[in-house]
Amino acid sequence: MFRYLVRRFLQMILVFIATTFIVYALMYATGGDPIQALAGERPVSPTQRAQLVKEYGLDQPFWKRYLDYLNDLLHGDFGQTLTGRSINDIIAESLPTTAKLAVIAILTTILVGVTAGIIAAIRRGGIFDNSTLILTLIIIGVPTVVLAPVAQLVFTIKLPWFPTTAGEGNLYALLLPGIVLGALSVATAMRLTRTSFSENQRSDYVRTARSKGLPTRRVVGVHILRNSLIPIVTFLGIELGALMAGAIVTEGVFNINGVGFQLARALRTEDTPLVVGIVSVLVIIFLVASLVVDLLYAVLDPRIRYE
Amino acid sequence: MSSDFETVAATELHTATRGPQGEPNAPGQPHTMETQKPRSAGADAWRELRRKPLFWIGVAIAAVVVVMAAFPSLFTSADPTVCPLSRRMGGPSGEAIFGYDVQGCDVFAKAVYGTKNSVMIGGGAALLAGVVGMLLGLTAGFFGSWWDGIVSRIIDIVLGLPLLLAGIVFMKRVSNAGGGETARIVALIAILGLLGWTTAARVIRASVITAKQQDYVQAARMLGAGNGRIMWRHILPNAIAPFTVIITMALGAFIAAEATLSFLGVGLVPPSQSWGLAISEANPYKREDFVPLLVPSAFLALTVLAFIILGDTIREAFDPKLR
Amino acid sequence: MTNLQVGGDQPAGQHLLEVRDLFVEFHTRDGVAKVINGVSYHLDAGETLAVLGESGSGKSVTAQAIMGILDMPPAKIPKGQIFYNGDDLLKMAENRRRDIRGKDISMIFQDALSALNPVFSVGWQISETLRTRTEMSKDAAMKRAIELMDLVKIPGAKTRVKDYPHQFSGGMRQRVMIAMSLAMDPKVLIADEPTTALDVTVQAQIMDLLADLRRDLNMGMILITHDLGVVADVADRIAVMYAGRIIEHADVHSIYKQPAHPYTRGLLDSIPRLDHKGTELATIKGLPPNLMRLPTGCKYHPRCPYVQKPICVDEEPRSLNLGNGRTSACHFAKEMLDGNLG
Repeated sequence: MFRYLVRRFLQMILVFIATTFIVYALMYATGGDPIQALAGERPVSPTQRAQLVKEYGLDQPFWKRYLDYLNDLLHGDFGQTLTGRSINDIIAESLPTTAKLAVIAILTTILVGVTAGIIAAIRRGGIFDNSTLILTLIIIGVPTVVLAPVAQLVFTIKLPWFPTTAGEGNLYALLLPGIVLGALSVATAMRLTRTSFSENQRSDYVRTARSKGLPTRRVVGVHILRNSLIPIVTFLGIELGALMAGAIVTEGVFNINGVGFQLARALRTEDTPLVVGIVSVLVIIFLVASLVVDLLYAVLDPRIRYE
Repeated sequence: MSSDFETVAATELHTATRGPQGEPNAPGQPHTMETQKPRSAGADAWRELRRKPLFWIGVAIAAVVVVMAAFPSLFTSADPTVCPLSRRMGGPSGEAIFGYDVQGCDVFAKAVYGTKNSVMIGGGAALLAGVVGMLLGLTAGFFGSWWDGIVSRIIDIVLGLPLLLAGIVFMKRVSNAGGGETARIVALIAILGLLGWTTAARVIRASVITAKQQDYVQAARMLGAGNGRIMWRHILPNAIAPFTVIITMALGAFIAAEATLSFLGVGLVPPSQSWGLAISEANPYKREDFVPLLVPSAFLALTVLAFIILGDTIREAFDPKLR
Repeated sequence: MTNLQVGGDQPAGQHLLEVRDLFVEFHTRDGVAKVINGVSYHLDAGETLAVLGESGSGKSVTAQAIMGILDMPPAKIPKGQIFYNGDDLLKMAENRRRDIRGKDISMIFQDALSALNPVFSVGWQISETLRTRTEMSKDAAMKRAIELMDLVKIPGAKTRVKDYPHQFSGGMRQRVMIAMSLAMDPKVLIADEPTTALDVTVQAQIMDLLADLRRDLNMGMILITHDLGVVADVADRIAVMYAGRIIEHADVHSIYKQPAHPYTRGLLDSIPRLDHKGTELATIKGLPPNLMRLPTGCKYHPRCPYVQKPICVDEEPRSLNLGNGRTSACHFAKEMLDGNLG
């Protein structure tokens, strides 16, 4: 267990350094005028230019600047936007909304996807199984850039069941975008659950449990479920991290003031430091989520725990 | 076929459309690989596939999409770049079956002409991801030791970068450098291909490691077959089925990712034709007229769906245990 | 069709467990596989019946039918009776049947690694029935689990009760499995190839353990195996199965002394023996029958070295009563017994 933890942690550090380096290098490295790259297509006045050079240490060598950036990241300082606002403030303001959205999406996934997957596995080959399989295929085939605007059109404009925009986000207003965000995960979770569950149903230990005279609901609800949950929980964990990053389209369409919305705005206003800052936060969240998932995996599966 | 394959494929399915953020980095699959039966799985799978209507639906849509990409003028005589404001939001007519959008462009013609970029970028990225994934997966699985370690670490790193985020950062950089349409298409192919090969590599690597331990491969080696021959004749045939599935689904995923990036303003930009662009242009005006939103949405969804269906039906055909 | 009747005309209730004229089919996409074709056998308290046969002979399926853990569908039981203490299990309501399963009749399986649930500790699994099917408290059940682990001679039971199956060696895992099956003090223990997955030395230990437990707890035991070698010391009677039928049934000594069916003889001849040094080891030629397309007449005739046309090909042999509870389903059983054949 200890060795597993250490290995996973070292792995995460490597990935963290490499990914932040890639992001930083892509945004700031070489090629053309770095000031202009920072400001995008906006005109830069000489005073701004001098200020930017100083602020971003552009007179320093690249590796030095990267180390400074890494150092700041490790101290929880994501820098300033082009307009001089603290990126930390922006993130602190918008992250909770995105987190709420992601949690709604995950809950939808669990409630609908996992339940449907279990039912489909138990009634394998039946009408429920076949129709949900085709339905999930269709859901998976519809990208969020299609689903979000169309859902907004249908459920807020044509059928005004939900508010069109969610803004700061009361929970009810976040419900539709949350479901849209979770739709893909619902489909995948359903398929993963079905696969995992049916595989476990065929396991020898199920025969053993039945031969012990346990009632079916205990065999299914305790023995099979506990084993099937291992891949599902790990999937959901990763998904929570991924959903935060994936909220950019949904938040943009529904006008939700989350990190994805801020990222989209930063892209529009050519605010490169803000883009890098938000991407860094999201990458970190994603990495932490994978690490937590691996720990969870070890908790759920004793075969890993006692490696 | 192994459960590993299925899990990976399920994840790939998932990664497919969100404009993917990566996949569960499942640490060690709990299930053991089953040995593959050496009987002609290909022929069996084909017989199974032929009977599936869903497979033929996928084939039909994909075929239409490819023809549309190559010869858009077969499907519409209108020019998508001619957009007189006088036709702004004009409804459907004999000349334009889905009417005109907010700028006065023919909605249907725009969607038809958007196919080419989607197919080129999706196909190019899938090809790139396939080649990179195949080469790295094959060599990592076959030679093992330090090279396997390096490839595995690279996979970890690439998986640590959600595709959409990395795409945004990379494409933002390209935007700032100010490239034309060709530069953007090449950049999109490169970034999607270079970030999307990991699943293929992992599946190939796993197949190779399984195959390497099988008796017939050991026997071939003892009979003096060289590395190249062993890989080509004995290992590749077993890995090719899951590989095909993953690349087919990745094609759909890359098309979705291109649309997402263009929607966000960092993929293709006007005057290029792209479904993602068309969706983003029509989205703010959907209250007044939703047809310009639905048409490119339908094109995009059907195309992605076609490749997902193809991948899924092929996977099922190769894995009878699934049903 | 004639069926083997071991004590078939007696009224129910004579034996602790009695399978009577059982048929099982598997309905698959490719057709119907007739896996069990009229099996009858019985078991009394305190004795061990070995059911012998190669894979596909139906020996495990019969056991699963007794336990009521066959997957139906695809399995179907068109005909037959299984009496436990005089009650027909096949006619019982599921909840009554479940009451017997695991409590009166329990079963251990071949590969303990896959037969045990990987995510629960062995103590949890051993005590599960006690916790859920009796009034016993959690702590008391755990205590009993440790006792059971001591009973099956797992060293350091107290410290190992919280360990997981993968932390045990193959032999110890099988002991855990046995401990689990004994939790409810069963009257009948069915051991389905309990030693197949184990090393030879460990095999002997497990067989000894099972024999001791059977004696000490006065259970009836059905020992399913394909290995004639392991049953000699443990079993009282042997039923040999082929293509879903019992083709010979006898007490251990008689069968080793003079088999009354060519298949049994084939099995005996294929055991390596120290006193036959230098001679070539005999094998049974051919493959087990295809259960979708069983041969006509005697199911063994395509492989039988003594096959005589046309009778063996055309007519399915009746089960002949050879006295002393001994039966054989061979047209030439008497000749076999007298040593006048081959």
